[in-house]
Amino acid sequence: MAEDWYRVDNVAKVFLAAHNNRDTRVMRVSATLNEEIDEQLLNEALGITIKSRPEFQVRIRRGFFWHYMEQTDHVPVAVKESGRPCPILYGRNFRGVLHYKVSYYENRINIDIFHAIADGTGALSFLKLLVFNYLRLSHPGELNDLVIDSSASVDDRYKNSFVQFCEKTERAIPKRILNKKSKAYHIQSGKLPFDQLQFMEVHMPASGVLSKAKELKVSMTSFLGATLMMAINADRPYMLRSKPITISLPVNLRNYYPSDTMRNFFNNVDVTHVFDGSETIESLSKEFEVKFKEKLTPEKIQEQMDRYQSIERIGLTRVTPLAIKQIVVKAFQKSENGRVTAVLSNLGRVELPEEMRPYVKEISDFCATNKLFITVTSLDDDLVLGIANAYSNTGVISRFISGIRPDEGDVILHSTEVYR
Amino acid sequence: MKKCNYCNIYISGKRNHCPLCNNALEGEATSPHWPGMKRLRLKGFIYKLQAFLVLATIIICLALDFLMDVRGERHWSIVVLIWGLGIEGMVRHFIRRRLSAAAIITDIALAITVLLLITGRLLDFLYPIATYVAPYTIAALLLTNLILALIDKKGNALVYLLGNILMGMIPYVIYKLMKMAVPLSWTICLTVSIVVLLGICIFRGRSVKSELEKRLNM
Repeated sequence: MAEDWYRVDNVAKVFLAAHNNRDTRVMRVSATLNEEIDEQLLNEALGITIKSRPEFQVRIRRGFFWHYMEQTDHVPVAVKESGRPCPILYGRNFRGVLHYKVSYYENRINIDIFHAIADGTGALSFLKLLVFNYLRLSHPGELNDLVIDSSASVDDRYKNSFVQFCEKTERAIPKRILNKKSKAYHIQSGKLPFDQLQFMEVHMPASGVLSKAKELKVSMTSFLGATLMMAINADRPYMLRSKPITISLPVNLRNYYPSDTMRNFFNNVDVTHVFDGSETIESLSKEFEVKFKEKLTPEKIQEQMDRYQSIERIGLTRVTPLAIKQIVVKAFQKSENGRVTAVLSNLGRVELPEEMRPYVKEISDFCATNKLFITVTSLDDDLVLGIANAYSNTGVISRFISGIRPDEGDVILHSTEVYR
Repeated sequence: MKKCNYCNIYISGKRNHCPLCNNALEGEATSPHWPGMKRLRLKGFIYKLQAFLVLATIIICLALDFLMDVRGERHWSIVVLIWGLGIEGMVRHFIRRRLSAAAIITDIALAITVLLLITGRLLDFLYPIATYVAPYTIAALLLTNLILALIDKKGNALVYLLGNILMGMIPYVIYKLMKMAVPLSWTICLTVSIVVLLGICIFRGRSVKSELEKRLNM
């Protein structure tokens, strides 16, 4: 049986130190149905879902040395959506209890989750189960034979997989952490005032984008990453063109290890390129693919995981009070952020059972940031970009969309209003 | 749906300009994809008003004291400054977060004690504050937090109580280490701390163990 308290995983420690009013470290996953949402049914469905997903019913507390999470039986309530996507769900300005929020607007169900308690895979799993339970209530008798809940045990879903799969136990500061990496180019634009983010949801035919990638003989991720690099490069002033552009790509470690955890289990892989002016989308895509795949070997993945885990095991780290650790982690994270230009997260195809398919129109997601964060999801032939932009300049986004859009098919954009 | 002919993209909602290139859109508006963003919730008017009044008072006092020489033997405006900033800090602290009763009571009591100690130091009455006000405040806080910790089984009250117990013991230990005579009030405070510790261990021993395990996990 699951304990009533848990240590926070490696990645969550960073989120807990580095969140702020703009970059709340919250992600949103949404499902748009083909019917209007009934609040009462949604709350009933949420009550049923939480019983199968108790790992989301946690409160994050501060210990003297580390944060920890403890179970809570606070009853979640789904409310009508208001305010911005990815709101504050932890920290000084948070007045709630749970670190996730379920809301609805017209036909759409949203779940905002603080990234310290789950990653994209965990969040999508929660969303699918919630939508399934909602549909069972709103269409009695129609989905009774369907089972979509995870077969993993509660303990497996709670597990800290970083600890489970870490191999090396050396307790020294890894050299690679201390190695100097050069600062990346940052988009030259003022940020939106009042800690705002502009959210844009872009829909286009997935088959069209995929065929463009196939023409270049690269994966979708490499094509998107290379196009993003080209868009950023085209937008920057000439005198800054010698600075490297680095795209950070979260990699789901469940593709490498047999883990059923709903908590964070991913690492970021950075792909860097210094432009010399001769690049085309074809050459850059191939180079992106090579660099990306170089870092995706099981050995490199294991090494990166071990590297970050080993920091926690150093005696000095363990006995340092949390208040000091937070300052150090925040400073480290700020330095690391300086080495990344933008983040691109490809969550891939969302698989829904056929029985649920007629009821679900779209799936989309966002993640808060302090720069530019693009998530990519697809449901059947609908490719959805979830763009969170901290800058007032939208030139990079415009070029990126033009670069990836297929030759045929409409592109639809939904954007939040911002104060400038 | 409206369309931007420059970007060749359909844009939902009622906006008149493309969010990417800012050119005018053509076509018919649709219902917005997100609910209308309320006006940015900037800090409320009442908060701003009280902040203005407090800070203005501080500035006027500083001006009267330093620039217009309206003072007695000491620069009394420094005391006004410290109390004004202290009260402002407390107001910001309490309106930002949802705090438990134990947190609110503890934070207020400690803030006022610290402000009194600083005032005492500035105005030469530190001794009564340090000898009477501080220990009896901590003792009263201990008893209040004991009750809250016994009632509140899910929140943070227990950790505030454990912190308070340390606060009740540490000054006594410091006096002893510095080989100074311990005032009776601090001895009473120490006694109350030990009694409260005994009480919480008897009535909620398992919770105390669990709380220490969680808070001190390395």
